[in-house]
Amino acid sequence: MITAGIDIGSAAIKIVFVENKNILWNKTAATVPNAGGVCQKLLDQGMEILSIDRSDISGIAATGYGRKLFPGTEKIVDEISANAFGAYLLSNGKARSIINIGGQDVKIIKITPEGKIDDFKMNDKCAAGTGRFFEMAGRILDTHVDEFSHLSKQSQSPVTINSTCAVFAESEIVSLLARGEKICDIIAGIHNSLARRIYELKSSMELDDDIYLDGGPGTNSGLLYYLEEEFAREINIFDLPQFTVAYGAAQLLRGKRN
Amino acid sequence: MSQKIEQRIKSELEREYSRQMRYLKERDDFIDSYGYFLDVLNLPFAIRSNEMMCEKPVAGLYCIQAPIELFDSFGFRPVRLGNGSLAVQRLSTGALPVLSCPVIKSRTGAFYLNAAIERSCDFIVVPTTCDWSCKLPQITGDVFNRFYIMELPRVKDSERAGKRWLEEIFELKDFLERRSNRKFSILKLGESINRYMKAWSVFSDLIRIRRKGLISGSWFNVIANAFMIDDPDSWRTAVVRVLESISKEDTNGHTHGIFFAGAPVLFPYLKITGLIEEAGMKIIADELCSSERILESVVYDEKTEYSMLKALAERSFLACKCPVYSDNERRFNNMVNTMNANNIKGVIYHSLKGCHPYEADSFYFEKRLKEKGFRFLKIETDFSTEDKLNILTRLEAFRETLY
Repeated sequence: MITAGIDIGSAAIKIVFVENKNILWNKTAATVPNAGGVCQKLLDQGMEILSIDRSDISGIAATGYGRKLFPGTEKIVDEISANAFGAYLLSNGKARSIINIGGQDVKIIKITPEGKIDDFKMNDKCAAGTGRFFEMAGRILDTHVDEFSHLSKQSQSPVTINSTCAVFAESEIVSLLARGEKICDIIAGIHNSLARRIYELKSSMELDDDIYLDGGPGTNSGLLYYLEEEFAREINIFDLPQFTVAYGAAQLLRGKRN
Repeated sequence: MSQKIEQRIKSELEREYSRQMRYLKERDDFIDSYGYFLDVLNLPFAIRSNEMMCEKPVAGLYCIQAPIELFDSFGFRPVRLGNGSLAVQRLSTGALPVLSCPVIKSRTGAFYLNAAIERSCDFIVVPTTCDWSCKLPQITGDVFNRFYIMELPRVKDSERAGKRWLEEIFELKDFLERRSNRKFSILKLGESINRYMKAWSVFSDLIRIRRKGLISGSWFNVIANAFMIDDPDSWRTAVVRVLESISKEDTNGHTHGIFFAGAPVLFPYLKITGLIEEAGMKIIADELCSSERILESVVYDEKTEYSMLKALAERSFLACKCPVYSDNERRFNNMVNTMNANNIKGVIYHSLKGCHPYEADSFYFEKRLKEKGFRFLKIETDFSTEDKLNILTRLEAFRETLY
């Protein structure tokens, strides 16, 4: 039984083809105004690579901000539910807490032993601590976000970024550059600032162990280091952290939580 | 403010109202008997205020502490002021900090519209509830100065505070005697209390219908909001018509019912109630001062001036669940009891950015309610619509926790 999950996020569209618990194929594409068209292209591409046609796919689930933009789906599910279930399955039922960093939001989700949402926190309309924040910083530093991870580790003396507002942080980073601070120290400072911001989002919610980080910035080990420092806990990452939500959506099509 | 700017804001306001009217009329659950309330709420900034002025002098009231019956007994038309208009908010620019309460912004902005009810009021009563309300007479003093301040104690569990508030009610009575050139009449107050009791009686029936999940949160809110500016007798008749229409429908109880708590929802701002419904949940009960708390009963022991005013004072103080008080156990108990009695598993706590009392209470309520086993989701927002998708995502996920 093959199912497909499409996570139509604000920055990227992620697709996975799933059979039982295995990911058969996955891909991302940038979110553009015609998101529905991009979804269809990704689906067609996946079917071609896997040598299957639409009749071989028992269902397609859409999630993410643009979940209602692609009409050819059997299920529409919010990304928090999809994330919880995807992380639960990918961790073989171990995950109890997730930190998800998306293009324009950050979520902290607690999961029950059955893979359901226990509780969650999500930022409101503010880009601080989100993937957009990284994009903004990368643009000003003229450095691709993929390089943030290793550059952060080179830092000997991380700077302090005081602003939690994406707009003001931008001018703060410009000032740091003008002051001659090293790029690696600024990036480490950004990671530290984001980790603090994400910890504040947690508020009074107590997280159980087996915490996982996912979303696009989930591969950023520099951020992971500062998150572990801030939360004072070990945080795990998945092999494909960007696809957890799409995977969860595809698995929710099976209609039961196993 | 230049005429050009006022004209532009009025155009925005009309568009905002007509957009909301269209949304409500096109809903699947629209029934003809709701139309009356839309008529009441439509264009409150022009035509309606003129109609009101023709009847009786208008007593504008902020918050819910000033006893509405007392104004009615002196021949005033009591009108609870407030709106949730984004367009009107813009008129408060220059008078308030950017990060102030949206309700206060829209209250303040209304004073800068020549046709607003606020400008037509004979006087406006301001109980000293939140800090923003306390400052309102000063903020709007350049365009309106007929304010009457009621000093509201912030501690309820105190005999001294109860006495002080009763003194305030007697002071208000004296003020109304002077303002109306009429003597206080036990008979008139009795008639006014009865008048509002009849309205409260049908409102209670509407709440009972709501507990069964038979009326949406949006429509309940519209009806309650209309009470704020409507004549109670006309409003009661219209509510009876709604009850007759709705009670014909069958029900199998509610699923995904929630308790709606926190800051008021004032027309034309219906974003949050609409999104709760879009996410597949139903508001079964609320504690909003713009909704279920807009009208409450009063019981007095004997028909004396002291007994009747004391009953009004106690209802508007001891029984009040506003977050401005230090001791809010009554508010908490009301939520827990209502949820237990109606099989409600979760609370959606509505917080308006800049509304500090509700925001401050939210942390305490989250902790206490979760300890009791209830689900809790706080939505912090404002009158704009840019965060609709973000809120909808959270609401849909919250629905999944109501198992």
